[in-house]
Amino acid sequence: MSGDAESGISIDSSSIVCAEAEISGEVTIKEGCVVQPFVTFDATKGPIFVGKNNIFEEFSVIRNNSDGQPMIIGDSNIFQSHSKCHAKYVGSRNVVGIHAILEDGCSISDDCSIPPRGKVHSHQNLEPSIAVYGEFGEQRSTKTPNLNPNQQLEFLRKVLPSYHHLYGGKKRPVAVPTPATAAAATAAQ
Amino acid sequence: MSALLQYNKITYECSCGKWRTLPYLYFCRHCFKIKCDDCICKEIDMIFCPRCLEVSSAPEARSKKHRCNNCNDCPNCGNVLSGRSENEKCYLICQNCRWSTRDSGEEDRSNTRMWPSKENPLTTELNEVIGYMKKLEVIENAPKELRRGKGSKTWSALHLKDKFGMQKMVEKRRNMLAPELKPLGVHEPTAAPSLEEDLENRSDLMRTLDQIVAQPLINSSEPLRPVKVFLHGRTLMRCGECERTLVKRDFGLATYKFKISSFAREFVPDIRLSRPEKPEKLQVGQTCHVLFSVTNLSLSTLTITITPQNGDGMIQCTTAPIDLVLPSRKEADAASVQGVPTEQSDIIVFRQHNRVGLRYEIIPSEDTIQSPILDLLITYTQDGAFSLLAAASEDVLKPEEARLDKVLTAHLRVSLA
Repeated sequence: MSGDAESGISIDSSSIVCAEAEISGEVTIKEGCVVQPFVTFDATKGPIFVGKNNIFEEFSVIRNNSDGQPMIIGDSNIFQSHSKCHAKYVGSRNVVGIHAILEDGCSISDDCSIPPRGKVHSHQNLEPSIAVYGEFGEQRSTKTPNLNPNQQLEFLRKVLPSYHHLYGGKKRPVAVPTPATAAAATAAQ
Repeated sequence: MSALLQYNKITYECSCGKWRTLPYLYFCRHCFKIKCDDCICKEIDMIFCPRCLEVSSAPEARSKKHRCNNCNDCPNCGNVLSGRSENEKCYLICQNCRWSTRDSGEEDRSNTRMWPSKENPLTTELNEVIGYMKKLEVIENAPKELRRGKGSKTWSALHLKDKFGMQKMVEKRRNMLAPELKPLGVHEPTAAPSLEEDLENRSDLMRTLDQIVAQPLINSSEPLRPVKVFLHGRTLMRCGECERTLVKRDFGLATYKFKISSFAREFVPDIRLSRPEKPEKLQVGQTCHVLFSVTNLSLSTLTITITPQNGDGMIQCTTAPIDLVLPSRKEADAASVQGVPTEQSDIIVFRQHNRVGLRYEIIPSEDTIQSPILDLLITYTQDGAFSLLAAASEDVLKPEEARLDKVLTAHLRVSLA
């Protein structure tokens, strides 16, 4: 874990966070996440905990607006560019589309998808495998899961450090043992 | 864009008497007339899928029911369905609402092409009925056919010998004239569902009108299926009178170029209001000014006379008719045009390349101030462009006639409101 104890920012060494990202307050980012440039994490009002293997694309805003309540984000989520997340809880394997807004205090479980410009109203709870769509935010439950972002993650982990400075002047991290590379390593042995 | 260029304020009179803005008009180079959308013929030039741009011929499109085989839309939200493969099989999924063919209980297929859609269950019966009707048509027309085919007498002598294998042909012809008819079984009427039954069988999920219209064959109790994309037609425009082509696009589908383009913009002087954002306030009985520019977008020099028309209900214009010579777009670019003489006149405000700015004096009256419309008649000749065309046409012209350029007119109204 890197980061200083005073500011409360703790980022796992295997995560890739670009220097242009703006992080304030108590933010914890676990293994394997990718934070692209100009992402805002605002935890001045309450802490933000981010799980493993999430992707935060450019200009997405993760802001905890609650008074002291933690914001929890699970694993393998994709926050596409310009999305805003003020949710209380976000589960795993969700896709938040471009310019989508998760309003204050809403909560989202697993395998949900919010379309581009979609909106989840405050204090709304999305059950697992719900897809929001359409002009009026219709919802439907789906049997088809979201795609695993592993391939995208691997690509970003390779490309981003070559063209960007990383947060806190960090050097290029050691390659993360992804399932594919781990399997290859065991096969080699 | 047209609002920015103030095209909507200036309407030209079409040869059929309708008033249209310049971008919506065509010009027939053979009739020398302005043509609008209502007095041209349109012809389908090419049928294609707007999504994958695959071109299909007319019979092919008919056999495909004017739908693309490879492109599908989401029946739920109308977005594009994309293929996703899993375990060497694939299914279609909508990235917006996550509807997938698995949701409708369809099995995965080895490829996304030719995805099956719901067929009409009565297709075979319908085809039988159509065939029956066609036979009836033949029988009804048989007496007429016999009367027409007088050659049959000579045939009858030949077919007795059957030297050239005529027997078969005669038989065939006879069969064609009076085919055997097997009466079709009457279509069993289905009992109309009562309201109670209908309410009972209805699925809980209400469908929107768009969803129902997209798939008329699917009942409310059945799951939705992918909607095949409709084919589009690209049109070719012809003059309504001489049927010569006005607009024809290039052969390739992806290009935006034209093979033939006779848009009115390229032949008729283009008039536009200058400073439309700050129109002068019109006052009854006082002389006001209207500023507008005349542009020559054609390929040859235009000799223009602009005559204001003080007709009934039109705003009164006190400016005298003015003659102008406008160089073409190409000449205007060349350096030699610098020497175009600028007329010493109160009317001309500026002169720039192929454009002239004019200032007209108008006196609004009580009647016309509500809807002030300036009526202008433009008489113009186009240098050389039409004499060349006339020479190419099949009509033999007298020498003096051929040399003269045809005098053309354009009648337009400028709305000053």
